[in-house]
Amino acid sequence: MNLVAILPEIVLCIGAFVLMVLDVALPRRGATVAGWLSVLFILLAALVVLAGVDQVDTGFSGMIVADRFANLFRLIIYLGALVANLTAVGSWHSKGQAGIFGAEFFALMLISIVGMDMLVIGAHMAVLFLGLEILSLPLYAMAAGWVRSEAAVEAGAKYFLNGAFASGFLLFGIALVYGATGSFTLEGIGRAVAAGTAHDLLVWIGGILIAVGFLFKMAAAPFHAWAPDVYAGAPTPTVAFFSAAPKAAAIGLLLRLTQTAFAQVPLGTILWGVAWLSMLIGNLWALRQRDLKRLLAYSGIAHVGYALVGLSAGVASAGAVGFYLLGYVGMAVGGFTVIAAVGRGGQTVTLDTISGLGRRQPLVAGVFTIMMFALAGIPPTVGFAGKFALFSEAVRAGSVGLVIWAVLFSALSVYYYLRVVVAMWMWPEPETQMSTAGTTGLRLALVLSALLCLIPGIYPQPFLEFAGNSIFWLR
Amino acid sequence: MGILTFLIFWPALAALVLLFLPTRHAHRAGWIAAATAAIEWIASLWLWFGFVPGSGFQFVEHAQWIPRFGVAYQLGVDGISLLLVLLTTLLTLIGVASSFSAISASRKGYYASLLLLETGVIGAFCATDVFLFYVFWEAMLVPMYFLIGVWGGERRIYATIKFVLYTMAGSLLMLVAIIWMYQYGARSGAGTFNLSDWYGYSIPPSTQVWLFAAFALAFAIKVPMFPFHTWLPDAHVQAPAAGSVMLAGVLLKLGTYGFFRFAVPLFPQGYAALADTIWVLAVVGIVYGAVMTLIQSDVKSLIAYSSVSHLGFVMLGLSAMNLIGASGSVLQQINHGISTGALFLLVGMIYERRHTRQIDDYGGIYAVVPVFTSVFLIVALSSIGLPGTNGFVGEFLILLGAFAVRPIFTAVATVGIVLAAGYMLWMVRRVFFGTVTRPENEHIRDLGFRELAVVVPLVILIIWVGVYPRPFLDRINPDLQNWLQRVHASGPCPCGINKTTASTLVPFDTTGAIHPASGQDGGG
Repeated sequence: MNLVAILPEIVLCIGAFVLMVLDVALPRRGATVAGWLSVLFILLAALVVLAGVDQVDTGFSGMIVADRFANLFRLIIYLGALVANLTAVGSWHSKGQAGIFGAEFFALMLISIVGMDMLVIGAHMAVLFLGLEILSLPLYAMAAGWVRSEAAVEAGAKYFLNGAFASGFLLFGIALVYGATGSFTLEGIGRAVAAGTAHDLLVWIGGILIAVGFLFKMAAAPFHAWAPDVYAGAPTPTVAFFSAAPKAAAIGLLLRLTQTAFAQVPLGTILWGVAWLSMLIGNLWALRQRDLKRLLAYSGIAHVGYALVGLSAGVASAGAVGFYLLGYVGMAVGGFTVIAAVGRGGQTVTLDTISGLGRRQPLVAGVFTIMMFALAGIPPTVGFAGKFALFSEAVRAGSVGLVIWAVLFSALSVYYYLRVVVAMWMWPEPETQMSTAGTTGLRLALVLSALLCLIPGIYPQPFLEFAGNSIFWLR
Repeated sequence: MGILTFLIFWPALAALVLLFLPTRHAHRAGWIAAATAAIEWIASLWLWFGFVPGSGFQFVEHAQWIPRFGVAYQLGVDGISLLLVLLTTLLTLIGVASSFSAISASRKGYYASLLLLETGVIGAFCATDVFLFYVFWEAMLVPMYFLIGVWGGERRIYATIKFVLYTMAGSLLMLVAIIWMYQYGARSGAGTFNLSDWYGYSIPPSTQVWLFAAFALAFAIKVPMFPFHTWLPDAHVQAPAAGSVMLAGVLLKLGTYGFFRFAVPLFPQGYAALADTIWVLAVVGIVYGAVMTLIQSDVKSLIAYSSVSHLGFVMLGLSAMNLIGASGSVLQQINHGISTGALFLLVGMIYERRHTRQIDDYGGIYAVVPVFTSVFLIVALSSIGLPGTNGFVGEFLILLGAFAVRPIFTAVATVGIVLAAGYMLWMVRRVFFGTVTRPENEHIRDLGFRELAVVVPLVILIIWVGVYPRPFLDRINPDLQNWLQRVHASGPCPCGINKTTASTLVPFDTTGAIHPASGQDGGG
């Protein structure tokens, strides 16, 4: 037993327990205190990861491999969770949300992060399945968090049903692969396939089913149908949380699978098709959205498509994918932070709501503008640098056609991102003024995500270096 | 820090200061921007005096940026880009100074956008690393998007989105080609985006065609060449006056500059395969643009369409692939920036007074505003290409160069000049001459001191280039000579005349402009 390998997860679990006790101890101010405490716990976990970032820790009879690659994705997950956490703390005071949901929100969040971590450090199918469940169950509760809102409860239920479906796919796939290879560990499966002792067809089908389970989680088309409804109905801080971190975890896991267990399975072809379709559906459907949460949901589908363009180019692209996801945390989570800041109290935020925002709240609008340009991939934001890294890997692997498809849809996507900017800066201010009070949590989240959009875009070298070096540790 | 870095980031720095300027100081934004642009312009004169013709890229700067991708921060100017940089700094200064009375809403953002635009444009002209170029090329869309969208006319949102989408669609395909080139180099050694290294690649001709097409599409949209021009009239008509000046004056030049710097020399055989198409599109653009100009009733859209025609000439000069045509083409880029920039400024000034740009709403105002009329007339004549003005020198060189290669195409293109005289003089007659038909036109203020100060430098340039273009051509030609050699060296001459003719067409002493000797000794 090597507890060092799961030290960050232990920290997060302790955090979750502390927060739950705290909720009982401090019934009134519990939520806010818990929110800031959970920020501390996430930072602490990140520090633990950073302290041993180059270390390879295996443990639990090879069920856990905490290598540099896992550490990269852990850090991306923590970053996404951190911004979402700040968003949640910042939007907690407002009426309509308080009282319904307290410290347990943050406790659930920490537990969910543990599940994501297990996906990226797991080297055994049982760990992966447990990880997926630990990740998902808290999210179902968090999605239904506004219990008085029918939309939120509906979102939670939808998310749950789809999640159960995904788990089913995953279990079925694991069973098939086990039947074919007689092994649960990634290494063992890979060895059996390479040695030719496995039943090829079963491994292929099993591998594809396992991949589908995780494609559900990251809302890649054609497994995306739940995303827009759930995004629109769920509380905004929750959406901020699951807009990036679980996707990063699932993509990290897929990268590991294509390198280890399924190195011989033509998963790349499946991912190619999913990438192709995700970009098509995400971008086309986003064109007509006026509800910003839906718009960002579809845009998220499209962005998973871009990430898969890199992923389908093979494992050499892992550095580029990691770099891209790092930037995506800033763009996507930050986008929901803005929605949380504008739609305090949980009302729907549409293009009309943010009409003239540039004159009322220039800083919030400025940050949102940076994010929109980043999502559209316009330099000098990380959106450009990230897409460049991904597409460059894909061209190296020879998929020029897919890259052309991707850039055509990137050009199309500029239209709906710019429409948001148009609404903020070029439409008149509405008659009714909205509250403009910001909170510390929201401000911090906004600044953090804006910096995430800009700094790796202007000076990508250290980030690329960090992400790129991680893949040599991938096993 | 080199001069080019200063020129690129000084306006950006000032723009940041402007964006965070406290609101109570907002009324000073114009002066801060003007001071910034003035310092920028004075600094850019250093380039003019320190430039050594024919020694390739100068004022070179090099620093690591993203070594992992082989991307460097690498700058330099040569004869092709020098004048464009100077034009940019001058037009920005003029654009800022002309906006004092025109812009009253959110001044901080307006001037910050103008200055950021300057950063993007100068960066794109100076970058000798293709990645860096692409970053500036894309980034400059953002300030222009805001300039049109926030401070533009009635249909500004439509116009600005159209502008951005058109440009993005073209340039993203160019991005794929850029990535392809990078990976091509990465196959045999470290990948790089260094332009000089890229010039040395030998790419199979069949691939070159695709790569050239991807680059050419991006640049053709920017120029804009027929049939990719439809964004231009919308953007021009809706943009504020200074936005139009920058758009016509320098942004369009990025398209032609891109052909000179990237598309043609990187893929000479690709260009050779598509050269005929470019000839045809250039000539069609010239004639079609001129015909469309004839029927415009709005002065601003008239000038916008005339740009399509004028830039067709620039592309024609490039297509000639000889020194005369090419140097005329580079010079005509500057001329068009000066003349059309001045026209947009003047239209902006009269619009501020009467709030209309319809030709029919004017008539006979010569008697009311004689100074304005005289200036307008000079500028309009230079736009037509009257001898003694800058337009004549550029167009004459272009036609001379093109005629040596394709006489019939060139003859058709001259129709554009005849039509230009038609639409310009007809418009001038309807606006300025005759009797005053409308009572509200009887009391228009003539140009004030500030407005004259803004326009007169451009008029001086019009006459200077028209009468004595030598200092300009001296700086352009030696580098163009090397450029031609590079393009021709790569295989069969794309233009249909042989190499010896191409280089012996150099002496052209009637304008006293070209020194064959100085063209030979420069290093590339």
